[in-house]
Amino acid sequence: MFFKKALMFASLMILAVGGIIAISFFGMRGYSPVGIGAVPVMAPVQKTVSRVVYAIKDVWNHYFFLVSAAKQNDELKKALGDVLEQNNQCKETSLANIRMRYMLNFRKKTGQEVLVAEVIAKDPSPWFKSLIIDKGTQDGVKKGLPVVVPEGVAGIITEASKRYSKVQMIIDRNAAVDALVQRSRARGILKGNSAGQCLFQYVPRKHDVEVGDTLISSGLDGVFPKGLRIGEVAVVNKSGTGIFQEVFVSPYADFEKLEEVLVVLNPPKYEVTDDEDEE
Amino acid sequence: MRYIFYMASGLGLFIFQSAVMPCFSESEKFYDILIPFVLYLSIFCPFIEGIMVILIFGFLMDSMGGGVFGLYMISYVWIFIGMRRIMGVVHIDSFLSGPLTGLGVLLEDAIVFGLFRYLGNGNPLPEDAFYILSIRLAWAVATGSIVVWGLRYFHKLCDEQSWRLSAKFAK
Repeated sequence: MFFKKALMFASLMILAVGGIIAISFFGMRGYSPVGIGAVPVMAPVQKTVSRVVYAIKDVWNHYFFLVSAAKQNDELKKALGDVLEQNNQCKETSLANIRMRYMLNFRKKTGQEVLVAEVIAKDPSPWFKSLIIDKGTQDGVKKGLPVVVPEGVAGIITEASKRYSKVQMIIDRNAAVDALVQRSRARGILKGNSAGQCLFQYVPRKHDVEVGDTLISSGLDGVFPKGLRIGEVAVVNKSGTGIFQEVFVSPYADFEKLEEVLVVLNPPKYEVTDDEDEE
Repeated sequence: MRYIFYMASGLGLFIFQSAVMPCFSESEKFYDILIPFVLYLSIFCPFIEGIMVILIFGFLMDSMGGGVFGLYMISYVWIFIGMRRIMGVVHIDSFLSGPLTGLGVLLEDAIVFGLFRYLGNGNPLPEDAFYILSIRLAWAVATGSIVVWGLRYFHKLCDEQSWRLSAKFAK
């Protein structure tokens, strides 16, 4: 009995060892006589199965696995949005910095006490041109003070509350500035016109005004300091029969894009002295 | 809740028109967006209530605007009264609210031009007046009914919220 069991065990061991040796031998040789015959039979099945597996894997990777990809995409989009927002803020800061430098230079150049104010609202009507700024009487702003931008004259304070003020722009139909043509010193009154232009009125026909001339404030209206740039002559019309010529002026200030303005807190006043009276 | 609706919608439109719209170029050629609000009040609101709300928002617009004080108040009151008169003759539905907004814009601008004339400020009509007016009218006719529809929807939401709250307290 014991002998039979030992024989069986030994046979099994020989088979196992023999099998291992055979596998090692054929494996080393690189081919299998059984495999050669099996390949043509099994290959199409393998091909089909592997295709199915690849297809499933493909579906998994492109659709089911995309759930995580979509999540990642959302996160990346959010990160990109944050970066774009930061970039935008940097750009805005940079642009504000440029504007502020420009205004600082203007302040140094004019030597007048000016207050920077931010435009917070505009009159929605196309017939009236006014702004609301974020500075009021507590900042020293009062009715009648001139409002300028580095490009030129912008308007006048018409109402001032404690923290906010209303500015009437020079392109408003009710606004007027006493102005001079810089080149020929021809004088007139600049009035607002709703088309975004101004009308230079009461300039006699004999006075020399040409397209491209620069208009400056004369200072005689007692509001705007003398010598501030206002605009450029766009059209000169002498064809009428009146004693005055019709002159249209394009203001230098871009009223569509005003974001900050300067309020001149101490405009120089033209005072008539006794000596001038005697003259 | 009704008063909250009046204030919230009116203030929303007011802020949108004075602070948001000016950020876009050519926005000044858009019509006064409070006109559909006035039209809405004239249709759905009792007379006294409507007048009170209109005076409040007219006051706000006059304080903000560059025109003579009282211009918007007068315009809104006339539009309100005019629309109520029209309501007595025809049934105003959402289809008609666009053209009626245009009519309101026309009335408001007529008052502005009348004011220019009264103040004797040269030519009562600005050079590009007809061009601007036609664009404003086109916008009003095209979008007035949308604003009225939006207000109606918002009002409905407020009413539903009010009923829910009252039902909750009744329990």
